[in-house]
Amino acid sequence: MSKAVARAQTPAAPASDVRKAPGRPFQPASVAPGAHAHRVIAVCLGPHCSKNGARDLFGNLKRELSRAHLDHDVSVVETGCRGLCARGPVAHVYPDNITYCRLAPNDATRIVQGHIVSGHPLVDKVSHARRIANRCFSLFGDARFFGKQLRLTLRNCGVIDPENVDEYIAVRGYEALAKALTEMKPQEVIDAIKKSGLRGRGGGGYPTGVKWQFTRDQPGAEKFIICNADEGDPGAFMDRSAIEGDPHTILEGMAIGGYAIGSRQGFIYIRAEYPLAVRRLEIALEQAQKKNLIGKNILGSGFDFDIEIRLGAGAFVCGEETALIHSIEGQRGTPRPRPPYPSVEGLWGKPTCINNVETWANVPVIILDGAEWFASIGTQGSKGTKVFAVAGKVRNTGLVEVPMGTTLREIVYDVAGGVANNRNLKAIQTGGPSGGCIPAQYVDTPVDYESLKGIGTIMGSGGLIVMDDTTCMVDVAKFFLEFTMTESCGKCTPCREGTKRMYEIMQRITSGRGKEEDLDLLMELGDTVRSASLCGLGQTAPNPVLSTIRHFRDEYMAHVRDRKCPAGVCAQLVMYLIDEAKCVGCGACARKCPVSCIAGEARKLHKIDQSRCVKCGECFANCKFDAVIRE
Amino acid sequence: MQTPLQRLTSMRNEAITRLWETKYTAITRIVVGAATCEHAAGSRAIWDLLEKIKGGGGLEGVHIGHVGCVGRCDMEPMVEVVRAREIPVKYVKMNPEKMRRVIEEHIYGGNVIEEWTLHE
Repeated sequence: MSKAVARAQTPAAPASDVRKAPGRPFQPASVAPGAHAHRVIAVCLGPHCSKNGARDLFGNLKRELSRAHLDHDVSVVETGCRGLCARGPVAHVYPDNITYCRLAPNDATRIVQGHIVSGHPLVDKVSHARRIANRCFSLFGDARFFGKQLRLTLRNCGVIDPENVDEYIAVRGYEALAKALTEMKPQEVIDAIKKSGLRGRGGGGYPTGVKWQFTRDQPGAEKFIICNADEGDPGAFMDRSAIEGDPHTILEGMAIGGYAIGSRQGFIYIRAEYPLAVRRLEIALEQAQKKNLIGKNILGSGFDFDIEIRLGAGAFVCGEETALIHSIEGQRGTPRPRPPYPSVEGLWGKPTCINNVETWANVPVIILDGAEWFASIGTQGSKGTKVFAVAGKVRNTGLVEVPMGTTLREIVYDVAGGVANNRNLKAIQTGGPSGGCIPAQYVDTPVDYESLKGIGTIMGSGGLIVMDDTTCMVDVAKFFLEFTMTESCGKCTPCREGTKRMYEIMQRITSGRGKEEDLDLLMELGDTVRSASLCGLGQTAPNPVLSTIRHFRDEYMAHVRDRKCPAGVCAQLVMYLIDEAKCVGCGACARKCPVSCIAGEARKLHKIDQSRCVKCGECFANCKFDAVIRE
Repeated sequence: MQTPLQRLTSMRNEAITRLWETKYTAITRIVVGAATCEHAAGSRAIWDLLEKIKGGGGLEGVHIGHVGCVGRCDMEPMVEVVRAREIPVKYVKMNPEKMRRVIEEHIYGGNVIEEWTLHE
């Protein structure tokens, strides 16, 4: 069949009216007028869908297409289980990316006539017709990884071209901003954010709507919006991926925030170590300005809002809001005591609303899909979703977004595929250097602000490091403490001196010179640093040490009392020996030893010269006969 | 006078039309992951290869494009191949040599190289 005929049979879709009249379901953005493209209808023929009539549907679709003479332009293919069994039978239409659920065999006629021929998808059968979330799952069909996820802020990451504003606009981009400007008063926007229950995703968990209200209620004509993209936790990359995958969402969220609180100027504070994220933001900003989506008189509404990008030099403390403000002002990035909070006295002394990247990215979703819906996701005190950068000893490291209330077990075992190399889970670290370690027995804890706080850690900005039984908890705590010690700005004494002294004690313990009293001293020092420091950096710096002492006291005791590191990580507490009974004299260890301190004749017992051994563990790892013993 | 929402709606229709004409009417689309993580895993070399082939007159009717990262760090670099009348295929842990074979066997030959696709 010729293309011309097909074009005639795919008439122009009406300009979809995006306004949702009460009671009228949202019409998904449908095919463009006049264009012709091949379509694919992928029908799930997994066991569950097949049992419920998917095979009949498959046959009916083929028959209907051939009856409409469209069988050369639309193909029907079968797919394996897509994990949507509860909503089966399901079918997916490419390239429209529309997933149909709960289909009956006789829906084939409606799909062909309504969707394919007329360009009107079947609204009553579309999965998430009213939601812009989780499109990624239907695109990739990777049920294990995406099945438990709900992608709100990452909805476009890996789906659209981040350097083309058309792609963002095509997936309902900037619609939330247009809706707010057309239908909502600034106070209504704030009320919606309050009602949604959105809390700050940077780690603190302060209610976003309340913060906006404070800023709005301040007197004065000049107010500022800031996006905190100064992501510095070791092992965290949520903000970077979000910006690189979908920069416009952040701009749109900020513009809505500006409209709500009465600000005309926004700043994005991002570290210079993220060159690609910065470039994508610059491109996005330029395109949005050109299209009158950011700048003067946005979309003819009379509302002005512009955004500037400010680069940070990469100091961890600049993620703290008052230090960040100082840095934007061109001063040294050090915090100041609060109150006054930035909502009252922020950038250049003006009321300023600072939110994290992820918080801003949630705003368009709330405006578009409704505060009630957003508030229906999650737990009592924590609404919506949370992005985690899952790293460490897991099979599939990755960036995931799960509804609040998902358990750590589901994140580690279901989404991330479990602990790597079939080892045992020992602990999960959340919140980076400000957070704590959760031992394996708490793996069924749901992820929300309160539950995590209850077991001695924090939600944090989203770093999630999985540790197996080869990890030494004392060493981990020392690592994070070293990080906060070097990143301390030095302004207040408890943080500057306290973290240094704590680090010295940790060094003593890991090198076998610790005393039992050191644990009490660490707790006492930690308590002082926590309560007397000026800003969040110092107030949370002792958390890794305190939480590991709380949950893994045995391991600390092994270090100080027995001078042993149970995990075999702390080099000065480990000794490698060769078992006389097991050594066959193959020489594998001697060849691997980087300092050549293992000697022995071929096929005879080898020996390690302890005075020269650097405890690298190469011999231990490479012996095929388990003849190298670690003590 | 148009409301902001009406303006945006017409902007979106134009945007969809532009995309449809430049992208979705292509017989084949190759989408390469392009974020810092993907670049670190080696996706730039794949992109350079595709551009070189296109510059030399190859890959006619094939649209090549970028996306950000989808979060599957251990599977990067990822390349998606969307051919008309077939469901999209995600190739994982790609490199230029594998890309060459995908072009030969999948894009020209029509045979998906199953072992390199995202499956678990």
